[in-house]
Amino acid sequence: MTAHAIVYAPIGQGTRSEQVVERLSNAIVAGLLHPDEQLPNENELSRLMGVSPVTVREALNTLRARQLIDTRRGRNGGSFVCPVPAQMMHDRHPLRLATPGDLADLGELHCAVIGHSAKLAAQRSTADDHRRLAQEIDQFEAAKAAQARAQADMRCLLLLATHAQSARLANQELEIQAEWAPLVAALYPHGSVHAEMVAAYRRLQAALQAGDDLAGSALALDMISTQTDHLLEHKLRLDATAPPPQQT
Amino acid sequence: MNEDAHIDRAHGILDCVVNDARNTAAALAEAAAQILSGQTPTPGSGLRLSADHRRALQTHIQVALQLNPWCNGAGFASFEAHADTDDGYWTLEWWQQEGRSLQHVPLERNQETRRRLDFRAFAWFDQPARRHLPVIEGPYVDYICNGAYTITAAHPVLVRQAFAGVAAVDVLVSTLDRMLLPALRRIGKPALVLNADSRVVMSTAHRIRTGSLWQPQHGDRLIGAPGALRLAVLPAPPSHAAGGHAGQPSLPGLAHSPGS
Repeated sequence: MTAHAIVYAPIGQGTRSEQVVERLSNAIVAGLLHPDEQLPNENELSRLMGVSPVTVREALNTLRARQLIDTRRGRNGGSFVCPVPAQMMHDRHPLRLATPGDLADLGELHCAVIGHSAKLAAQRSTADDHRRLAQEIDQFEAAKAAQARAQADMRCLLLLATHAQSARLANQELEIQAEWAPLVAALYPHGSVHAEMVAAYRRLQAALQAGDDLAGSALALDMISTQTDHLLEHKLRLDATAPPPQQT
Repeated sequence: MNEDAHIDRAHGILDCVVNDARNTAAALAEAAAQILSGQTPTPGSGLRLSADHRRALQTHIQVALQLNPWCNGAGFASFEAHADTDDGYWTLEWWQQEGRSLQHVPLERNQETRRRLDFRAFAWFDQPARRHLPVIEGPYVDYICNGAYTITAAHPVLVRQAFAGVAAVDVLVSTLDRMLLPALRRIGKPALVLNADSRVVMSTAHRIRTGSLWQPQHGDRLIGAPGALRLAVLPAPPSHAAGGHAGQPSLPGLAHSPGS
């Protein structure tokens, strides 16, 4: 396979505009963006997401048509998130829109990034780093609401990736989290998943503090793999109540 | 050819950058304190910038960047807590420099992102905020601003002894690499730049990577004060001519092509 096959490969499912719509729509439906929260303006979105302003405009039009955002003009104008009707929340939840193959595959990438991050973090963490991670895990344990748990979980994972001292791993983790967070948020209303993750984080914490890079890596891989299994099970249950909607 | 002379030169460059960074952050903090001298910061947190304050501050930030071509970013950060909640307003007036062009980085606009990726967790904000002391943090992955491996010199902005915010300047490790690696290589022995935690910032030593923690060993020469960035020169690797030592553990050698 020559370099051309990679360079000229299709950018991904759908056009760029559809990808932007999917990312924002998933975040809104999963409650990661709250009703009345203001989106960054078009230029800012263009810069943040690495797409042209034309693509952003197209995406915002689609989101408006789906009644997920509302645009107000004038001095305090901009695009604002709309409250999501319950039915839409059920039909368009990212867990319903993704195929099991997609979910499993995202899980594999996430395992790779977090597994290696844990290995490096075990080798490269100072006492201060351990303290910081301990604090974040404490906050994850203490979080009660599903959204708060999902966000605290993401903070722990990001911290782990930064403790690997690798900009590429941390940036890749941030990219993965854009998709992972809305998915995982669906799991956290269930107390048992939260308790299981807390236990997994504590075991990981112990391995890191002991400087055991192999155990740390194995535990981290297992943690993400288990989350992926939960996502797949949850999706099966959701799909059993109604067939997955066609992607529009 | 004097090894010591090469070491002095490399150390000199390192010292220069570190001192310039410290001084630039301090000067920016002083300018910010003057600009904000009419305000009273809320106890325990910072304050918000008026449009006039922001404009005045921007001039000083731009000058700081222009005077220091190695400096990749500079600015002012502050957090104003909203009573009794976790919420607040994150002020982040930040400019980046690439070559000769200066750019404003509109980090303040999306407060939700500021809340999720909270700069108060970083030592460059936390130390000046809590202890009113300047700090040099790094190397660390700056996922808030440039997404790169970075070293930040930060200085508290104090208005009548109350904490008003932090003035900070960034130098990317990649910039430091370009400035320092040629001088490090000329030393002729494996060399490391270490931070105060003995974390490797850069390395010409075989198998010793940036980001790893280094245990100084007997035979290492450490140049510079322990609290800041300093140089470590390691013993030369064993000569290839010493045959019959196939089982010997490899000492760190210079990372260059074999046989050269």
